Amino acid sequence: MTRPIRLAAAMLATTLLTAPALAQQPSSITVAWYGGNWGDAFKACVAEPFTKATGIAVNAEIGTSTVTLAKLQQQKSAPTIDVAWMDGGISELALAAAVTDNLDPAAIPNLANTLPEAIYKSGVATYAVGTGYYSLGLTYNTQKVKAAPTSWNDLWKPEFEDAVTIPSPANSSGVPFVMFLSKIWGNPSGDLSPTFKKIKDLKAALFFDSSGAATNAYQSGEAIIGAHFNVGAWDLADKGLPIGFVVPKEGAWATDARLHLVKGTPKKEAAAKFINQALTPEASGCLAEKLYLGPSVKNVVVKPETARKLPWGETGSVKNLQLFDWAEINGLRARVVDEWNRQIARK
Amino acid sequence: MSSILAIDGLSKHFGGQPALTAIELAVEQGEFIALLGPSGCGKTTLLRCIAGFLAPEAGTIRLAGEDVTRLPPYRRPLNTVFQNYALFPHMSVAENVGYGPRRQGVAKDETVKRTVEALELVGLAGFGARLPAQLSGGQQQRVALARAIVNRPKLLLLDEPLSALDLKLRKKVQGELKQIQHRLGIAFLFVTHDQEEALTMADRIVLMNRGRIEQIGRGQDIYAQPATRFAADFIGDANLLVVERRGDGSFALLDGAITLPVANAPQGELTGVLRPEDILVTAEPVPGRLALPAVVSEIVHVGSHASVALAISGTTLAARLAPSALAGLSVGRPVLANIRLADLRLVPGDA
Amino acid sequence: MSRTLRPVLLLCALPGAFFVAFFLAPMVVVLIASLTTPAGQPTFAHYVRILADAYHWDVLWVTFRIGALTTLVCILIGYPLAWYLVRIVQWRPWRRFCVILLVVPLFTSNIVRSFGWMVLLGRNGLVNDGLIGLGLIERPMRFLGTELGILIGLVYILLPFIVLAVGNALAKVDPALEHASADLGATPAATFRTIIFPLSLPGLMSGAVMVFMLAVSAYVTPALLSGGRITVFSMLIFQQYSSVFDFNYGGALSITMLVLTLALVAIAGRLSEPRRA
Repeated sequence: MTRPIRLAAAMLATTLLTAPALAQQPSSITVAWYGGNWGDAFKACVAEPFTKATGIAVNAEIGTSTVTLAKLQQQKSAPTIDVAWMDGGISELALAAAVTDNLDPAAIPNLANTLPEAIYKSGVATYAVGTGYYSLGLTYNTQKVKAAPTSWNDLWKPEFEDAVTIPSPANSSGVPFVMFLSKIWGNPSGDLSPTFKKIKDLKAALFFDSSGAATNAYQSGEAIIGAHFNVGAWDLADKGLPIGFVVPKEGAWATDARLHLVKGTPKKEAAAKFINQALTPEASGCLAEKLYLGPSVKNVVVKPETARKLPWGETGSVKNLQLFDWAEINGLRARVVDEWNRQIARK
Repeated sequence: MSSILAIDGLSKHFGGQPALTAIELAVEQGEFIALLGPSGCGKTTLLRCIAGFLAPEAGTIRLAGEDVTRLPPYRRPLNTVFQNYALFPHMSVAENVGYGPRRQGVAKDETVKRTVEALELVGLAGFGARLPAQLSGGQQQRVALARAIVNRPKLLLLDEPLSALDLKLRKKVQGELKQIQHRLGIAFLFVTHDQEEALTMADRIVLMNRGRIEQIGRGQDIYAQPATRFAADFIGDANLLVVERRGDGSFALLDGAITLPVANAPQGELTGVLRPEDILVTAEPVPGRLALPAVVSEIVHVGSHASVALAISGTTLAARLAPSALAGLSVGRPVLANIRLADLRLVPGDA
Repeated sequence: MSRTLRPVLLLCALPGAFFVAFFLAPMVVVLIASLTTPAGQPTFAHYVRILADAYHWDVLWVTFRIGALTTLVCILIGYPLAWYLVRIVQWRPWRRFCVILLVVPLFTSNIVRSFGWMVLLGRNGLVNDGLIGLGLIERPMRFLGTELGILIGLVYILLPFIVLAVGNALAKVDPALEHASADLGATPAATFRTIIFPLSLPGLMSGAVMVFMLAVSAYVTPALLSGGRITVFSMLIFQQYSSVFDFNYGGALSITMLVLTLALVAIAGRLSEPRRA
């Protein structure tokens, strides 16, 4: 209900503020990020310290990555969003849609302290920078599932019939998850039919379209085992629910939340400062503590309790994650969605 | 033969407030009865009790000898013409008129025949296909009448049916209504607050006040012999005089200017009623009348007659004179008001 | 004359501009997108792709079936409920409380509501516990991820539209008409059938049209309650805009949906029009 109002308010505010030609520092910038505890963490870890340091207020434009990209495409000629968080995959689509601007190391000195894996380049231009990794691992109810699962194939066990959940293509992890399964089963990447055949055999309680829906399902007991993001699963466990999260032997599919400088923003300088703020060890550490995001900034130290919950586990690093080639995924996106609709999302 | 309508000891309360008290009424075949009274007197409540929309707390209502007191409205052999006609807006005129017969299971062609007849009777032949919204107020009123009489009820209730019409149309419809009633021979029970309407149309008037019947009778009888102070006041103009009861049993009026002998007068507070036309204004006493010295305080000409205000012993009386009798009268002049003691009636009620 | 006309024109221009900016313009953008290739060349290919594919008709059939059933159930529950609120409830605070209770779902957040549905309709939900406790069923019944579940969810949030529309129509029926009907010998049932119901029909129709349109175009409720196992047409549209980013094909899906819905509503309106001599 409040989203359109907030959107309208943000749009109004930005229009009013950008109207006079300003050479000096703007009084506010607009940053697109996600809802729920993600948005809260971005605000606390990045936006608030940024405002404190620069005096520039931050207006939040809340939406999922896909919705943010749709907005950016529609306001291409006169963007009202200055900086946008979008997930891996959508980030590449944003690049293709030409709505992102180059990240200049001179304007963003902290790029030098960032993991090389987290700097996304297209030719010589840097179009995105990762602010933290998260993974989609096996999540299960520790009371109902006696032995901790070790493989994704455990989801097909008869005892979990009608109590399993995996993402649907409406979720940003949905399409890559199909390809992840295809890969661990050794199916040829060009032919998805054996993969869909097996997914069709899965006795699922639901296919979740949002992280919130997955959290609801585990919380209510509708699902007792399935996929979930490490962020969401540990959040439930922290609340005292009997929820466990493991990286199975086949590995966990992972991606990251990336920051983008919106092409054509009149507040480029302030926007770059914001991105620089997000790449400080303090901000990265803060996001790790709050969201269990694997830091993309070098030499970030987190509490041992937090380290256990990071996407790569206690001793791992970014090297242990299965990061996919998004260009390949995006090329198959329309086909996967269509096949899923016809084969899975039908009684 | 028993009455078409017989009401016995009918009482109705609204939240402890009496709305009708001990109503007794009998209506005969073919009678035109006016239920007359000021607003809030209970006449509409009485009508609704008869129609069955309200349940009385006590008493019985009999229609043609049958006790209908506890019957729902749709089982009572009577019909109503409603104040704002209550025509069904989604039905044509013919469907409205044919509604009653259809509900009673009358055959289709018989219904059509009766509908045509009823519409002819009210002068709306050929209007059957129209919708009520396409008719004038007067035409709607006729449809409402046709819709009621098509059922050949034993008794027709009319709830101020003419109040929404303008004066001229009302006069015309009054005549037509009376004619129709005459032709059909159905008893009409007609609610009105307009005494003139009641006097011109009704065979008998039932005069109501504060939930009680004050008097039942022909209009001229109530006028000539009002039973109560309210009846005297409501029907026609009247001078209402304070009556003092003397120690010897006689009555004094106008500060003793008139003394009435001991008579079979009712107990309690009494009021003297003197109609304005019963006062003769002259310079010389008139034989056989009591001459009271008076002063003219106002003369108002009302076309066919003049109303003269007379000051007598500190009270003002109204006299009604023919224009010819006004010769030599002017405001401030001392005159004689001549009255006949026989014209002076004592009725119960405080002046 | 032109002097008196000008302020009037200006006053008309304001809502006109609003209409153009917020209704017409987006619609035209979608329509144009649906008739062009990503490169901007005119084409009917998107419509051919939709209409020639039995899968889309299948999804449309599911969508309109759910919409029609939602409308039917809303009428069957909503009409008596409106009757109760308007004709039977005398105590006004109670009526007001009932209306608020009815409208509250429209103001609750989707996430809260979806969690509520899981608690209520889930495998271990209250309804299943109750049915098992009563011995009516042995294994939990599946509500979530079924058309029945979507139906329950849609009826829950769309019921107020019928109740308010019908309640408004019923409240406007002159009580004198009922008296007149009874006076003319109609039993209460006959009065309802011949007088009250026909007079409440316009309200019922407008409520039903609203419910049907909202039901077939609903996204959030079917998305939450389908559990990703049933696809309605709005999901196909949403996927194109949010996951696949094919605005041309998505636009064609939207226009197809719009045209078919309006056509169905027009047919329903024609069929239910009271016969007139």
